[in-house]
Order: sequence, then structure tokens, then C-alpha cells
Amino acid sequence: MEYGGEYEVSTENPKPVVAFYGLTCCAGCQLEILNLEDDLLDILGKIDLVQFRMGSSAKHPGPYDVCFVEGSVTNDTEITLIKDLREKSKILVALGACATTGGVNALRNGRNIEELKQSVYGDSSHINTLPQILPLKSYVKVDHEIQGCPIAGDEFVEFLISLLTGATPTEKNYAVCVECRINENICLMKEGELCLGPITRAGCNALCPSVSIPCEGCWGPCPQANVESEIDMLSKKGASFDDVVRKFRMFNASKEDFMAQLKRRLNIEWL
Amino acid sequence: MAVEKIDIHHLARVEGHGDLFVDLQKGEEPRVEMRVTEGTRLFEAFLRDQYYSDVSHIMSRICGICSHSHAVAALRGVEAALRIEPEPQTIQLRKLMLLGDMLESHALHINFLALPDYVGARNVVEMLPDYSAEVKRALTLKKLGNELMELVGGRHTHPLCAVVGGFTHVPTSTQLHSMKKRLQTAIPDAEAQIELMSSFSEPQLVRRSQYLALQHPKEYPIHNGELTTDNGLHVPETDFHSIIKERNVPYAHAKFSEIRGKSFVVGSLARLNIAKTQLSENTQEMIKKISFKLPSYDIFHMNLGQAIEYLHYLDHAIDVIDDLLDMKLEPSIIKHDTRAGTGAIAVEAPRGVLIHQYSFDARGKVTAANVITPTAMNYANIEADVHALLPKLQEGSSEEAELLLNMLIRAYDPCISCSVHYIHTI
Repeated sequence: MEYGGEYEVSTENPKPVVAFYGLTCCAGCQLEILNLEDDLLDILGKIDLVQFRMGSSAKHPGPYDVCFVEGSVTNDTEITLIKDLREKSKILVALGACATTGGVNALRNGRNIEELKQSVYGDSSHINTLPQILPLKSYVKVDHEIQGCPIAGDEFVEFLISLLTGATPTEKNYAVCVECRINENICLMKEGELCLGPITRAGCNALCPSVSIPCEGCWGPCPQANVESEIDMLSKKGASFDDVVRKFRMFNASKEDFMAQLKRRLNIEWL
Repeated sequence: MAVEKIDIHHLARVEGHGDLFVDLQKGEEPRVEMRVTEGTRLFEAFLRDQYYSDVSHIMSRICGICSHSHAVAALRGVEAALRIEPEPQTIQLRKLMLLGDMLESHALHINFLALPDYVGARNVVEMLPDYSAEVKRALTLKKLGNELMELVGGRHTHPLCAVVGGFTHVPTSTQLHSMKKRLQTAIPDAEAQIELMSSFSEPQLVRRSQYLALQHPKEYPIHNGELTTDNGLHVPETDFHSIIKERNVPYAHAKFSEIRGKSFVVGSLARLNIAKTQLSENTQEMIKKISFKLPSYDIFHMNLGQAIEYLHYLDHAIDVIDDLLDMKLEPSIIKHDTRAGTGAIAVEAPRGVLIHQYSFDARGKVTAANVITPTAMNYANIEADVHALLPKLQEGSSEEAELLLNMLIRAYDPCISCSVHYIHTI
């Protein structure tokens, strides 16, 4: 079995050995797998799912053909775990915003971690946690990223089919705006809303704008996102400096390139 | 050989990361520690300086399984602080979000997380050869909850169109009619689910604890109500501090809660013990049919309790849809201003009472936030139950002891990632 021609997954077992792991997060992306109710039994017939603690008490030490990891690295134990999983896995897939952009976990970035800990726990000497949340690929080589908060079930299924058939997984290298056009949505930017659709990777089928909620950027920046122009557009719609920073940080505070462009445009040092 | 030590590392078939440690060495006081090892999340801390309109979208990310409960709790908390009175349409739509969350989460827990232990399987796949019809039924019942959430919230995990003051998008009456039919069609399956869960008489742990749930004059608790215990306490949602006391424990990233110096239970059994007379007629008849006696003090009845509630929530959702069909639904958001203030509210989430509290400055920015989750409320009671089980644990092998403890903890349906962030006194 091959994956995109690049990874050899041939084993004695005709079904790939698959594991799911969760780091710190809401577990919503693993839940999205369980939410594939109509396809779940078919999927389970085509893979050898050996580790999925949320749904099974079975344990498997590895190695794995494919390992899906949701959540963010927030402490030393999780650094050790992700490095171990990398060594054990032929293909490592980061699942969802917490693993690909840091998600809302990265809202701690740029703030004083001791003060944050103290404000939640009072005496926080027993709390071991990292000051910065980074995408998994900052710690280990990641072979594929599935975006979203939470992921879209159909993108996961599409990836799995590519894997099983040896096809190259498709990447949606365009912005949410394209999906809005396809859905014939009224443009929220034109309505005066502060929408990140023009610079956010497609894949959600423009879920939020389709119910009149401006895009919050949870699929991460799309390639060649014109951040400067987005900031200018938001400003023209009446967004304050503060609004722009808040919008950009919500799901992408750990995306360095993205935040660097924001800092350059707004001429600020902090964040 | 007597069991001396049990160390369950990374509890399975629960949401999040936790361990249970039990030390039974002779001559020592038995030690029981529910170790909550999930990484810290710091939601209440990084929420500071966020704008009020972003709060519910951030706070729903506390939990994937009960995201709609967190979202509704956050919206109600923000509105309480900003003195916004939501319209009846908004309240009914939010009830549907909460009910969808209940249906999905209960179907998941009953069938995928709890049931495998009762039939000697490690997961739902191992159940397929003998229980294929039950597994398919479970998938249908779970999907129904997801579809209800998607219809009202715009997505089944992390809702979109529920905002402060109302909804940006509402279901059409055709969609509501079709959803009502689907809920009605699911009733026989929900009844079969109750019969299946009532067929297991073991294990048991009958221990009188305290039970906390919301109480509402008109309905089985879901959206709001008075915090009520089965031993006579009644306080408004805003006064939760007056009865729930929290303490730090060195081995957990979550605080443990007590009422009157003792542990307590929230969740399906607490709601049933406190509000059983408000269950739908259908549900009351099923309870009679299976000869189930309430109040019950057997913690393993949390599982059967969820199956009973599933049927009631179908009926409740049908009633709410009937109400909504009488209104002419339009997207509607109440005009509001920012102001300095504090609001505290409680809702019933799948695992029990969920409290959110927020303070804002005059510009609408969060100055303090506080969440107490049902799982965090239950931790102290889980430990007390483990102590009560100790004699039984020493009778059998360590494998048997481990299974029994796993079943006990799973009966609470813990949502560990929810629980690892706690009180900041406002």
C-alpha cells in the first residue's frame, strides 16, 4: 500500500494499523470521527484501529502505519509523547486546530504564564505547563494536517480514502470566499461584518458565513493569504486596532508568519 | 493474594485524561486519588480582555461532547451580566440545543462508553458480532441528537449561529416538522434502550450521598432553575457560591467540590431523584414497566438513568418544537449595549449542573470568568464511592478490581478535559 507515492505502508496486514491520540484539547476532533455515524462501521472495516482511548479500552504499543493526533502540546509529558509517537508511526497526521494552529489554546501566547496560572489556580506550584502553544509540526515532522475547529468529517474521510487507495490527498489551497461564492452567500464583508474568509483556508464549506457568522479563521491561513489587504479592508469597515488583533489571534495566535505580517502592518512589537 | 495497589493509567472510554490510584497496603489508611492529568487549559485566564460577543465561541471549545451546553451557558452568563432579557423564541431554540446535546451525549455514553463493560467487550467493534442491531440503533439515536444540534446551532460540535441576544439563523417550519417526525420515530428505539440497560442488575453500589440538580417550576430541568439538593437546599443560580465549596488537591489539575462539607452527585441520577415527577408520561410509564424505583442511591443507575432521560428528552424536544411552530421564527438579535457587571447562571449539561460566571468592564471586555463543570463537582464523590467499594475490591483478582473501578468511574460519564480549569473568585 502506498500513500501519495511517498510513504510505503506495505505490511503483512492488508489493513493499515491506525491509532488515535489526544493531547490537550476539547476532544471534539476525535468526537467528529465518532460522529461519522453513517460511515463509521464501513471505516472500521477497512482499517485496523488499535488505539482509540476515547472509544476503546484496548491498548497497542505501536508501531503504527498511521497515527492521528488531536490537541496541543502543553507540557513536558506531551513533548515526550509526541516524539515517541513520531518514532512509532509511518504517517503522522495532525488533527484539528489545536494540533495545526494551536487553536484557542494559543490564546495564552504572549501573556505572562505565571500570572495566568495564578489567576486560575491560586497556588499554582503544582501546575506544569508551557508558556507558548505551538503547532505539532514545531515539535516533530508532521506528514499531513487536517484543519478546523473541529475538523470536518468529510475532509477526514477524503483523506482516509486517499490513504487507502494510494491517491495524493487533495489540498484546498484557496480561501473560504470561494466556498461562499459556490453557496451563493451574501458577502458579510459587504454587510460591514469583520470576516476572515478572504485569508482563511477553505474546507468547512463556508459553514459560519452560511449562517451569517463572520469567519473566525479556524482552518488556519490559506497559502498566499494577503494579510495586508485584509487588515486594510477590516479597517475600512470600522475595525479598531484592537478588533483586528483579537480577530487574528482567536485561532491563529501561534502561526508565526501570519502574526508577523499582522505586526508589520500594524507596526507593533508585542503579541 | 489480596489486592494491594491499583494504578489505572489513562482511563479509557471517558473524555480526557485521568488516572485512578488506590493504595490498600496493610496497616495503612487506604489512599484513593482521582488524578486528573489532562494538561491545563487556562480558559478563564486567557478569556480576560476578550470581547463579550466572542465568549460563547471560545467557551464552547472547553468540550467537544458538551459544546452546546457550554455555549448556551456562556450566552446566558454574558446576558445576565449585560442585563439582556432574551426573547421566548431564543430561549426555546436554546433549549433545543441543550436537548440535542443531551441526546447525542447520552447515546454516546450509554452505548459506546458504558455498555461494552456490561457485555464483556473492550469497545463497540467487539460488540458487533453479538449486538449488531443494538450498535446500529445506538448510531441512529446518537445521530439524531447531532442533527438536532446542527439544525439549531448550525453545526453539531461547536455551535455557530447562537449569539448574545438571539440567533443569526433559524430553522424553517418545514425543517422543524421533519425533525419532530424523526424524534417521534425514535421513541420505540429509546424504549428498547431503556429495556436493555435495565436488564443489567450488577454491579451495584448503594450509598446515600447528596444529589444536586436544577429545579424548574414548569419542566424537567434543562435551561435554568434553582440549585436544589435532595436534602433540602434551594438557592438561586446566582448564589452557587453559598452552597458549593471548592478545594485544591495536589494530584489533580481540577478542584474538588463539596456541599455542607460532603461530596455530592450531579448528573442523570440527581436529576431523576429531584425532578422525577416532571418526566413525560411516556417516560413515567416506562419506569413503571421496568419496575425502577426512584429515588435511587445506586450510582450505577447513572447509566440506566441516562437511558430513561433519553426518552424524556425526545418528548421534551417535541414539546419545544410544537411551541416554536406556533411562533413565526425569524433571525432576531435583541439590541443591547455593553456595561460593567457580573452574571452567574447554571444549566443542566449531560453530566449535570454546569455553572458559568462572567464579569465585564464598561466596554464589554471580560475582567473575570469562572466555570464549574459537573465532572469537577463529581470528583470528590467518585473518591468516596471508591472508598465504599474497597471491601469488594479485596475479594477478587486485581483484574476484577480494575474493571469494577473503571465501571464506577464511567458511570459518572466524566468529561475530564472540561474539568481542568476552575474557580477564580469574582
